Amino acid sequence: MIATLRFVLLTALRDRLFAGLFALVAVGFAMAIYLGDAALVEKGQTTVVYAGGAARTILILGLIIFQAFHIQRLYETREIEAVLSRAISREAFIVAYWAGFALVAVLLAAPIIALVFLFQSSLEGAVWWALSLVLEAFIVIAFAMFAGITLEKAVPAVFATLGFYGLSRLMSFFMSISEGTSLDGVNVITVPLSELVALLVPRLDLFAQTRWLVYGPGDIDSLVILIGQTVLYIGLLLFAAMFDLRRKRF
Amino acid sequence: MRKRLNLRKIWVFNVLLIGFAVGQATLSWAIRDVRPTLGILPDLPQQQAADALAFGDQQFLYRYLALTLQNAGDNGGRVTPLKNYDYAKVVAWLRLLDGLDHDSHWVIAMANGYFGQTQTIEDVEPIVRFMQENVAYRPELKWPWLVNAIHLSRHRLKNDWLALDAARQLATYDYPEMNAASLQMPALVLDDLQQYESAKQEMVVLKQRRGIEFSPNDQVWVDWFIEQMNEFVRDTKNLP
Repeated sequence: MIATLRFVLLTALRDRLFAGLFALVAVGFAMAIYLGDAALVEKGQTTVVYAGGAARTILILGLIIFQAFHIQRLYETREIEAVLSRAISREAFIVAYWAGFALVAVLLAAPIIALVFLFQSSLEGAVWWALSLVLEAFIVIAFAMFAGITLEKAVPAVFATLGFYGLSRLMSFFMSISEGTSLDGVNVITVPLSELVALLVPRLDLFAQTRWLVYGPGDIDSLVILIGQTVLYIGLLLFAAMFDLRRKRF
Repeated sequence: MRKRLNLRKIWVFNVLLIGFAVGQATLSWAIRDVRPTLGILPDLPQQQAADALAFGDQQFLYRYLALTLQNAGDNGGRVTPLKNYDYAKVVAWLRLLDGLDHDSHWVIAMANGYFGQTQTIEDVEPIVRFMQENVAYRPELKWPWLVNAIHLSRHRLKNDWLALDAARQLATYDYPEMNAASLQMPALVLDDLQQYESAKQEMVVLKQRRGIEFSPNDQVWVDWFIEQMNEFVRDTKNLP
């Protein structure tokens, strides 16, 4: 487990993920300060919202791309076969790799969160935002790993994960549309379909809300929902990845 | 190679070349009136489109669209005077933003300090109405903005009846931090409207309701105002 964590961490360093992502976050924060200062009022609040939103997007995109190419390289160089030939089960391999990516996500998120804390208007809200940002990253890396293991190639894995991420962030919007739609014509199929998809997709729009950075967090129940959602969905994705890996022949 | 390029083929080639050039010119002439709309304000997204654009983060979209509205009309050194804005569209934008965040002061500050300063005085009225709406959602946070709405109505729009409407809305709120002056607004506007009896009644009711909380100076001033209104009422009755 420790060796896998170290390997993933070293790969992230080798790919200059940390340097590249921090440079991008620095640009994002500079833009946030510049644009926030252009607001007539609530300059601080506007800055923190821009910074938080930009940081989340950069972090998630960086993790997805890194993971997809990392897993593609595992297959291309046959490193995956070398790793699995050792005394490690395929299930343990999936868990160890997810833990490695999760560690990278935490290391990437920590300085970003520290920067956002400098601008926050609500300390409690910033804590919620930071915690839920890490949870959101955990879910996304679980999906990116599942997509990478299953599809084996980086480009379709990136597209699949971006599609999943977009769908998860827009699911409440799709649900509100389907609720206000009459059940006739093509809607006879699309409305139940969207309800079915909603059952299978996590509600990532509830995570890392920049509103918390300005006005403070919501009720404690919503935090419990976020933690529950993370545990359940990571479990589902890791088991799906294990299921797929067990069927593969090397 | 040279043999294949006989005169006839060159002729066909030239005709085709000229034909495509003429065709292109004709098409360009035909669609010469199709122009991009260089509006001052971008078109308003519908509420559902805004929800989709938010990508799950309404606060971020709110801040982005608020900055877009604030900077609309300023493009590359060209500044559009407020009198050229379509105020129906401005108010629609303000309402859209208000729907994304009822708590923020940015939109109402823009309405008051920026759009409310238009050179077209009649456009101030929808702005004042919007400010009243905006305050009504979160009066505990935003009641002071009604004082600005009253100011816009009285001094820019010269519409004391609209000012009275805003003043009465303000007087319906009852928050500990509200000062005496904000509660006295209806009486003051009624005084401007020469509705002395009503002004007096407003102040008497206020004195009974909140007078005990007023500072000694405010209490003296309220008594003086009531006496003054009594005098005006008497003077008005004595007019031939």
